Amino acid sequence: MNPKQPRRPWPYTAAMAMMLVMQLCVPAFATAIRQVGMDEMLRRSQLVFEGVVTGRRVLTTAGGRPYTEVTFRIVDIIKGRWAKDSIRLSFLGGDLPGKSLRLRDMVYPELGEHGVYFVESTEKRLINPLYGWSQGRFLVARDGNGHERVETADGQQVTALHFGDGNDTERLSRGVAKGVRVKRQALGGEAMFLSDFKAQLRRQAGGREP
Amino acid sequence: MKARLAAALILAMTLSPPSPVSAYRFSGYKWPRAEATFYYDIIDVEGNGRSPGGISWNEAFREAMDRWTNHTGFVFDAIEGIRPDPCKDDERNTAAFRRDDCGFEFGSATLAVTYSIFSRGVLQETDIVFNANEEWDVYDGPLRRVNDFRRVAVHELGHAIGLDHEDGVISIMSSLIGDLTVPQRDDILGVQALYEGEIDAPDPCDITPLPLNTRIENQLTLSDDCRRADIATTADGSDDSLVDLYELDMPVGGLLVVRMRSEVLDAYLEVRDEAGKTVIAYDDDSGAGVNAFLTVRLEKGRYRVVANTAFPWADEGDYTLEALLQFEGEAPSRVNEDNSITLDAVEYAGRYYRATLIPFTPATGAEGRYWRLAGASLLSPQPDALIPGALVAPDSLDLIFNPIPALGRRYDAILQRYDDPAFPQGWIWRLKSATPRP
Repeated sequence: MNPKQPRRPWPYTAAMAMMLVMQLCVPAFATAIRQVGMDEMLRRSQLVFEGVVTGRRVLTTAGGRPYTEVTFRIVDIIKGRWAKDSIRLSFLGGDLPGKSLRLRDMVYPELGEHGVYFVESTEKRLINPLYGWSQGRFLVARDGNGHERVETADGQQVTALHFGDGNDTERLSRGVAKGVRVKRQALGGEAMFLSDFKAQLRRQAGGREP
Repeated sequence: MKARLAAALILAMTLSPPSPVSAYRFSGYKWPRAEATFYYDIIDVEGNGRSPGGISWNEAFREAMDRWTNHTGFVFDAIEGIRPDPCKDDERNTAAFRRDDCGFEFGSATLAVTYSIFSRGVLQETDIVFNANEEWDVYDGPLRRVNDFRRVAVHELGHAIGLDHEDGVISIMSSLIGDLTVPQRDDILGVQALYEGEIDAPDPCDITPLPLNTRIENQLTLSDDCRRADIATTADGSDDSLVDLYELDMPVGGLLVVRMRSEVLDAYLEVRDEAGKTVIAYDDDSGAGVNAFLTVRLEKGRYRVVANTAFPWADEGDYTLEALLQFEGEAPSRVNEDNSITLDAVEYAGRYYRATLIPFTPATGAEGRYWRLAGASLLSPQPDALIPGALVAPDSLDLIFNPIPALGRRYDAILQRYDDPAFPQGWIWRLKSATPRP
């Protein structure tokens, strides 16, 4: 036991308890990304789509800084409009011969990655085009029965989506948007089916289910 | 409410990070040497050089750098007054507020970004860009709605050194911000490992001699920059409150009384071994109110006394500290031939009294040796500073002698307050311990 866990007068114990409770819902550094709610993320993303990464290359800005252009084949548009069957999104940073630029917590989707992506803007060039960085990136994986289920970007099962949780700008992102219920396990029976996930997003976005 | 909070506390502690192991992570690149220079002149987009709270952005950033330099030995140099363009790869590290990021917009959720430009694992430049579209200030304590510039800067500078996120132990490099504001033990070990052989972590803590029987007036202040994390025997949570360290020489073995009093701090005391690695005794609130008061029997030798606060969120303020090992005081106590005790001066609640104790026998026939207060009078005038022959412990009301002459020897003795049901108004003590001085 550490000695500095002394008997404390009640107000201090209460304060300590409250501080510890606050630590349960602690904010986080990403690079420093605000945690966003599912409501906000869905409402403010111009385009939400299911897609597969088909290309990735590193280019440079006019100032010579590397950025990574990722090409997605669009499988299904859940919200928004996009006339083509593919989309190119630019993520700042990348590796060039003899020079690399990294941004903390920037993840560049890998070739072949299958996911659901929330694109903040199809017109503006953002550091990370996905809303809330990793919060706007969901992965699709097949379970043992071949069913497509949904994980967060860091591999946690998405068990439910809640849209009434609001936003809390005092917290920073831990990679998962507020309102996404997760269970940290190998992909199993509790993760949402991709079809249910998309249907719920569509209902919330006010669109029609296909 | 109490039960709920207690349950929450238990739950919180259950879910706390696991106990300490070194678990630092590297990002895969580092500086050629354990040093980096930042060039900056930070103003927000309205042209203000100061935060809403009045602290200059430059000062806050410099403090963030100093926290790494002072705790880890990785040297951040600051060259202020120069404002390099963070969009240019000019091998000049900088920090700045910007509304966009070199042609890329921040987006709705990005507060700050850190770029690391490197080649073959060797860093060439790091820039930290704060999103000027967001609200920023500089403050300590729990996070508020507005972002804390300095706290984010400390964390980002850890990345600039070459550390990656670490969530397994208490660390400023945790992806959880929490209330940490300085590098922790794991961060220090991480920097040492990353720049192995190149740096020695400095000791940020000055150690001040603590003379016996003298009241020291001091203050815990941010400028001291010595924190609990620097002296942690184990990684004890996220407590990085300020500490002052003292070195105490015990010329003989005996009963030492240490007390720390403050009107603004929740005083917290520790007595450690000479190396400061082992806590021998500690106290939080045994003094009056939330003051600290401890007694500990020590052998002849050197010890370390830690003056700290039990309430890390209010850790600045004045205090007094005393270590009492009285020898023959100016107003000693003595045991008389009839076993009565004369106290030329006893200190109780900050005032000095002359008192006499006489032997007492409890009606219950309880075993032990007892005395009751036969008379006491306030010394007049009250001395400004006196080494009394005895002290009444503020909370327990134990009577402490260190020492008292008796039977030709000198004893460190403690009389424990005793409540006799047949004598409810009486001040009665029972001999708890008496140890002869060498």
